[in-house]
Amino acid sequence: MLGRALLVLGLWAVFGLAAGGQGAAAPGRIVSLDLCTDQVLVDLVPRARIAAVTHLAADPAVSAIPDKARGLAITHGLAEDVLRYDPDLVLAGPFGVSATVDLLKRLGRNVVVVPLANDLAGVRASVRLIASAVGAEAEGEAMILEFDRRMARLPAPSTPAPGAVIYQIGGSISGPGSLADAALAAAGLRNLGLDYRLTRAGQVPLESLIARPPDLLVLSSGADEYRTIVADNLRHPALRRLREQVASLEVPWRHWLCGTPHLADAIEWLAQARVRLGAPAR
Amino acid sequence: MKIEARGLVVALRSRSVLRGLDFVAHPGEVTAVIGPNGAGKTTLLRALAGLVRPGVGAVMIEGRSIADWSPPALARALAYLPQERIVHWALSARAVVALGRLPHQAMGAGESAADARAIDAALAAMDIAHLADRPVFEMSGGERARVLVARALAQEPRALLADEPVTGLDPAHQLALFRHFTALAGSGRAVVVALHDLSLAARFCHRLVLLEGGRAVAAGTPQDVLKEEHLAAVYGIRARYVTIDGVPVVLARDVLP
Amino acid sequence: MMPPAGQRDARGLRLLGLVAGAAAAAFLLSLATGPAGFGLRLPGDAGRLIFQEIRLPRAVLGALVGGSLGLAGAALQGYLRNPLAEPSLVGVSGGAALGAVLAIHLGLTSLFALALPAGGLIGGAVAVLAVLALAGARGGPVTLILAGLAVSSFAAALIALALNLSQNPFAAVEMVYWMMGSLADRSLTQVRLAAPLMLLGIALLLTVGRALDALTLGEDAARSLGIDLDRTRLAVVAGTALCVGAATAVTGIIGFVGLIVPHVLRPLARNRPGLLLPASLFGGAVMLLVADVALRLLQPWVELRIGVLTALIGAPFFVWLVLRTRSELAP
Repeated sequence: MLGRALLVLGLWAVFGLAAGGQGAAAPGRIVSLDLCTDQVLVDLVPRARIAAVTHLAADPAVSAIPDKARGLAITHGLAEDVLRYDPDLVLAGPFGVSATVDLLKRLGRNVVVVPLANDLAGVRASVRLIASAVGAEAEGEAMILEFDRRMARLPAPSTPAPGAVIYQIGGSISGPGSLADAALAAAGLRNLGLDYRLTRAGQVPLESLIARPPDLLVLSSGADEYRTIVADNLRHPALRRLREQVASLEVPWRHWLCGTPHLADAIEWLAQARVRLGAPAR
Repeated sequence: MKIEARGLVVALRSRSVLRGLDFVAHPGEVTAVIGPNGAGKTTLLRALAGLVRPGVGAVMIEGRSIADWSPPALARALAYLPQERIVHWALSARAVVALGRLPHQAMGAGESAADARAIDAALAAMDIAHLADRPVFEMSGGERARVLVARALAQEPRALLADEPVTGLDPAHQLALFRHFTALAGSGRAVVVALHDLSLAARFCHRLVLLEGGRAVAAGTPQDVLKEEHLAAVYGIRARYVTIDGVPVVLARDVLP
Repeated sequence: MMPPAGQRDARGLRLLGLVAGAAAAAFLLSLATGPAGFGLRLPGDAGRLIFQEIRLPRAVLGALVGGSLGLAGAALQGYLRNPLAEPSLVGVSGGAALGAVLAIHLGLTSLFALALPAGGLIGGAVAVLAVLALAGARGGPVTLILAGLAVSSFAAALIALALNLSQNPFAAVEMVYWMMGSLADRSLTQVRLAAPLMLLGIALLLTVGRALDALTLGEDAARSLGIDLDRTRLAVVAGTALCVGAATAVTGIIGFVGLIVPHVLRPLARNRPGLLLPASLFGGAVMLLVADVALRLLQPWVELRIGVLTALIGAPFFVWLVLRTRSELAP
């Protein structure tokens, strides 16, 4: 408790100073350039203080908060576009907008780059960083508290932990060190991804999956969700037959695309699926 | 097999090439088509072979319009030897000559004994049996020309249309080839040859047809056609038709102003 | 002395027997190779599932696609009398991929599944006709390659545009799929879609052997030998579009098979374009199946796409070919 308070104070001190003496006035025209910061921002501050979010925030395929994002102004991330909102704070992710971020910094704007969260600690750190930048520390702490409560309410781990694989478009799987991997671990599942992956590229031949099936097969999209030919593996008859024999769960990837407290939804579902497995095969 | 053309008008790329041409070639005769470059010799032969359709006029083969002949039947009856000695792939001489048997082979059928006989006979007739396995690309121009004539002979046609078959051949082979044409005609076939060499035409051909500007300006025996005034008008040369050692020769003396 | 006629035909049949046998062996090898273990009989229900639904479709597609590409290459080279002709180099594969992409992203494949190979077929046909119009049978090697370059570049640009406009979140991944080809995790669904069209195209192309032999002597001589050049042209265009169109629609662009196989087999077929057709059919199957086996054996160390592998072999081969015919290419 004390440690957390000190951390908050420390962060606030650092960023309070970095903000160039903006002092007590919390930013009132915030532009978010990243889907992940969009989702945290919308739950932290009143809508009036949000100048713009990305166009992805209202897209139900990738956003966990499409309803909340509807009606907010949209930016596609170009510096010129951002500047017309005259923001006093810009939140950005680490990828894809570095040129814009550099330009905005050069023009003297207050830009906070939020690093990618790769595990649950990263989720908490992201929330704290954004909360302190927008001057909503209390709301941030409440968000983290709720997240931790949900994590504490998860069912007790089984021994040994059942094995799971997140099988995606084109045969890609989520490997160790990723957010999805951390979510599996939090749900009490062992990520078998590395066992299957024969190369560093992160793709698993369907044959391997059938030869040594996991206890739980996690799919991040429906079979017919994408027409694209690279999604054919999700429609493969062999996969359909596999799903008849092996427990599977569909967790749309909008739930684990970002290191936000919405990840708790995915973790809860995974834990419930784990419990339904009963005693694991190995 | 009688080949006849009446009032042929052929235009190529909107340029008039044959302008109302009459022609006849009788079986048992070697008919020469002569004339300067651009007179329409090649186009006439192509029209007789059915490769170009005349705008006006008709080609009659054995009394029937060429349009009434099915392409396979025409191919069995008539062999055409183009001027360009094209062979696209490095086939052996024998393989090239064997292509002449295609009109006689059903789809997918291999080489029959009759085919083999015709091929061997053609190779022998052209004196290239010893070159049968040599790739055509490794032969001299003259040898390649003889291979292509052999291909036409292998077709065992009732009529042969040859466009400049002896250009580039050694004198010995020129004579041998024309002797073979004469023998072919003697066995009842019609042989039509387009050529530049007036002396050869005079010596070996029963009938000459002199073309100029897409029209036949003279037709008949060598003496009738190769008169001084014809040669002057058409070729612009002063030339004489003489006989040396019993062999007819056209002697070109001068270019006329 | 010349051997009698029967023996000469026997040589051709021996060649065909040899390549057909190699194709059968390669097919079995492909069936036996995979990450679940080497062998034709894999244990248990899982083994049966793997064999039936994963390895069998992959081997069948490898054989049919490889054969189609080899045959189409031989047919194009024979018809155009040009040793550099090849479906991917002359832009047919690019056109086919474009047709397939449009069929998918315009939503036609959700209406009826056959829209996918049909799109490939139409795209391939348009590309062949475009190349023939630009270069024609009279165009030399340079004109043909330039025409092919123009058509494939245009097709690639339109594919990128279509993927971009489709709001496809996997546009980049899909682009790689189309441009580099893949036989991985294809199912019997793809086989059922593409096989009938490929078989039809193969049948069509096998009928032009006689015409290709005659065309050795040029168009006039071929016609005088009784060959219907219009029907031949139609068979070549339709057959190539069917073969390459259906193949590309389910595997993406796989290049160079139609260039290498006819070249390697040509001396064995004694330069006869007609015999080269069935020989290249089997030879193409061998090449693609063996490449696919190699791919799976290399998988623990490096992940390669089939199109990359054929290009790694094919592109240097193409360069060598160009150098060899350089004298003919210089104006």
